[in-house]
Amino acid sequence: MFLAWKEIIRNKSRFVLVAVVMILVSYLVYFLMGLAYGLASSYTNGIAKWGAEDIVLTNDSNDNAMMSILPDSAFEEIQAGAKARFGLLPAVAKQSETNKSDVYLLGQEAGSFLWDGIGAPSLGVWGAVADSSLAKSGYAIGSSVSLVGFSTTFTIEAFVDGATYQTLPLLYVGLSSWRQLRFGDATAAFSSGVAAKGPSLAVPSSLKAYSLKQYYDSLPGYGAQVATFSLMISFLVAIASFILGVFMYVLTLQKTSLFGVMKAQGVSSSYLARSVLSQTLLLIVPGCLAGFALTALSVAFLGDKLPFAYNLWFNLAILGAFIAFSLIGALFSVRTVLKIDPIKAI
Amino acid sequence: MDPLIEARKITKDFLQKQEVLHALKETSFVGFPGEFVAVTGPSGSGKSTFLTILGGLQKPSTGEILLEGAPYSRLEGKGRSKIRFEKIGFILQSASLVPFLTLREQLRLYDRLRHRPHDEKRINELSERLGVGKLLGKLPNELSGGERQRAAIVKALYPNPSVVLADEPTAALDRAKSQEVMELLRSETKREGKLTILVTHDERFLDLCDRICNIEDGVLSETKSGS
Repeated sequence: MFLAWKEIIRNKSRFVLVAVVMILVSYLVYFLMGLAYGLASSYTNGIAKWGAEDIVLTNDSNDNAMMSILPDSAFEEIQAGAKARFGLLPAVAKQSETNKSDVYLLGQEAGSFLWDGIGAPSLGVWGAVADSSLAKSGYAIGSSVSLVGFSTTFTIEAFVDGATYQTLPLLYVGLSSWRQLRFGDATAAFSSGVAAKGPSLAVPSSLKAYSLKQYYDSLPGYGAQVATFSLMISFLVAIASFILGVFMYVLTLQKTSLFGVMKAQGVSSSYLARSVLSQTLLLIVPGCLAGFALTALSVAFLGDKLPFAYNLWFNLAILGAFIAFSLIGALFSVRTVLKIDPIKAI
Repeated sequence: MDPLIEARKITKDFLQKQEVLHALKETSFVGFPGEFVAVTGPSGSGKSTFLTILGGLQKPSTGEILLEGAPYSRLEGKGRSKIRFEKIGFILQSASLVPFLTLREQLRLYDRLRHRPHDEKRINELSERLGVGKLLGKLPNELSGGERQRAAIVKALYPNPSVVLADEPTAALDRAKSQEVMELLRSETKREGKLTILVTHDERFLDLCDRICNIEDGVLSETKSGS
């Protein structure tokens, strides 16, 4: 580390270029990661709050919860550790002629585990828990929400953060309210689907069970979007690490003579190899941290204009990937160091 | 007095285009503490081969090198590297110094590699004697050619090696500076009881040497013997 660090601080102009490349690429990667995660979360986080493990829809729904009409008789046949009915309905919340918001209405069975992660109070018949983004659209607790095409209005009783589905804000309502809107009858014996958790899930043949991941992947655009971002980020990490590896290789080649002399003087190849690897780390780790800091700064500046979300584990995974790929690249430099013949150097 | 280094009937052959090249024919050499020995000879005569075998950078084809009485040349790479690091100092024409370390850091690097504390007293004494005491905080590119070679001597002597091998240490210097460097190297050899073996083309400084060995066509002969 001593040799590596001294070389960096004494050859700033040379290493600044490498560091700037690292900072900019990691900035881009962290920014993309945040956007990808934020966007993906906005598809799913409203139902992720359930803490369910499986979703059950009808076979005929074609993986679409909105098209699933699951009779209560089928619900009774489902075997699971815990199960609860839900109903989904797209709607337009209208505050005024100029202030309309696309929303999803998510009816949930009263008293079920679906409400645990939402922290809802006991809702009135036309009460709703709304995604906090609606608060920024002018709604407040106690506000009435009119839904275009329906005569009834809901009253917002609470807000909850990150309650979106397919990028739109959710209104959590009671299942009977949803039934009233969907079928015109609060006692209609149907729901869109069933959320379940616990072992030994068994469903009748007319129904289809999805793991949460399978369900997410079936959401229109979700899988393609996640795959696209993942591919972009992976390529960026690999390419940036490759570029860093090439930089390190060229810098090592320039030091062939010096390393040869040092080896002649008895400095071990392993020390020089470790020096090359630690130099790579000295560029990667602070570069990534600076890139992350720039990302955080940009997000603070841009505010809610972008669907950005942090995920500690993903960010650490990116740092780990940068380190791993760059060290693999640096191994070519290590190989060069090991092959240097001190006799040729002197 | 026990020899510091002993070459026993060493030879070195290279295979070049299917032909065996005898770079060093059967050669024996003994060096003692406090000796300042020159090895001369035309280019390609085998001087550097001799020096690199003595320094453990390559193995002899036959024969054996003993360092402080212990066989050395047949050790494997890592073992030889360790002994070279601890017992042999190298001074080269140039590039003996790491360009991005100050003189003091070059010396500290060796202490780090040896996992031993910095010997500030020795650093100061040695650098003062060699006239670079005020240059310890300087980088090599901030030093003149003569200062660089004096710094290289400090670097070679600091780990307290038994043997110093110098390959054309004054090749890049003018006459006055060469004289100064050679005299310093000789005086340190005597003062610290080292054995210095010096490969040189420059016959002007041979008077300073206790012994002179000449190599021609891979054959070493002593032209000036120590008393």
